[in-house]
Amino acid sequence: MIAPHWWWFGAIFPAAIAALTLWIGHTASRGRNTAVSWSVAIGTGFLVGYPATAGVPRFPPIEAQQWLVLVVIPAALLIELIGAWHKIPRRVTSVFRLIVVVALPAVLLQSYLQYTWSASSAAGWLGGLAVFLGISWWIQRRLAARRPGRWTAWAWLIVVGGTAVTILLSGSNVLGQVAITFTAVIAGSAVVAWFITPSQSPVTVLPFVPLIAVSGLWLIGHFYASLTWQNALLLGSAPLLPWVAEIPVLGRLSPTWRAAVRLFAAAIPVSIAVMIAAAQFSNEVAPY
Amino acid sequence: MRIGLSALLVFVATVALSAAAGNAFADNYQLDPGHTAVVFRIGHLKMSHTYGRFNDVKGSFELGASLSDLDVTIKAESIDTGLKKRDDHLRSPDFFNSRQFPVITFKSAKITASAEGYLVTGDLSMHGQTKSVTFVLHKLGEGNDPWGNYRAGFSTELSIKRSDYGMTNMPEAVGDQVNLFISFEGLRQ
Repeated sequence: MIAPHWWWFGAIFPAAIAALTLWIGHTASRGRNTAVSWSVAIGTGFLVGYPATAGVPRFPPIEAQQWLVLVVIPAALLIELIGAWHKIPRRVTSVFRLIVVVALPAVLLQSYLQYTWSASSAAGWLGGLAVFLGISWWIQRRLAARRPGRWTAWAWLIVVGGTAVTILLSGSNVLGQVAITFTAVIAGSAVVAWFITPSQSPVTVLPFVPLIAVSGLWLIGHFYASLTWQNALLLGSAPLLPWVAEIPVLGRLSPTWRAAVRLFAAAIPVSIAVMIAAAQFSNEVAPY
Repeated sequence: MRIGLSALLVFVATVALSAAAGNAFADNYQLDPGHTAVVFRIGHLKMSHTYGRFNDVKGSFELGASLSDLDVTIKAESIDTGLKKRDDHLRSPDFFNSRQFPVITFKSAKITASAEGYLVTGDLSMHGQTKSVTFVLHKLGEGNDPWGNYRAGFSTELSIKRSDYGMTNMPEAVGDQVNLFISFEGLRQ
């Protein structure tokens, strides 16, 4: 049950802020610092929209989603800003990114460390999740570098939007609304990206920040809310499937059609996850 | 006369020592889960009240000349409103976030005797946040049960605001004020 006025403050306004920020940043820098503008656009839009759902974030954070919003996402944005602006060596930026990826599960699942897991279970879970996220980021990064273009923004829009719907249908309003805000921010910036030529698209920043944000939502959704592990896995596999367009059989397709294949490939597991959650929701739903 | 004065001095010293020691000779009591209830009431759609309870409550207190050291631990996961889907939602991050904050605790800081029983002030921790609460605890009775165990029973009612504990979701549907009705028996150890 989302209040009608929420859509203005939790989705439309942050999307507009993200779009405007990206446009101004891109124009002011004459296309030279679009990657930085993209980072700032995502961060600004999300921080503007988050209070509509969960109030002004408190510091120090208590809940996992507060850690995600106040610590993890700003850290990811900061790394992208530093990497893009100061031209520091790529290896250094990559090490920073790796630290954020490895730290993400440990930061968000603190209470499991405190109350639920033994030392060996914690090592297994945190290690496994860190390896999965690290490999996922590396695979996506390679594809974004190999096939730069606006398609990455739209692929992430599908993944994040599907995550929002699945989490909402899984029974967590707050987390679902946070995911909708993030979807709106990606959507706003993706629309602006449409008017930026492909060579200027900020593909270098896009795979990391949404990966961190949406991975955080999957972790919180599964470990603290009711996102099933099957749906978490389906959503987690979605950003990897655009690699399907690289198989030789599809090599003869035009770039536009290959981009369409990538988006279609990402949409398949997302659609399955949404359908499973919707079926479960309609089976269980009852007014209370 | 000399014996009488000595007896008076012993009596005065005993009273003074007892007062100085406070509850030093108190017995420890553990809450009896079968005779402990934490029931809550909250508004629904500004039309009616919904009732619920927590099924897993543990705790202890010291009882001698006075009451002290009242500690209660409630498993948030044990919330029960009689409807599974609603209970699951209440356990989710929308409300209690019970996987992240598995326990609700109360720890007394100050207990003083009052005309109605005991005035208890302590820290109530829930959903990762701690607030001081004060309530009157009524002593309902104490004594041996038919099986030879020594028991003491208490009850209280208090109101809190869920927003004070960071639970602000769905304000249109779910009221902010929560009335708690608590009754417990302790078994002397």
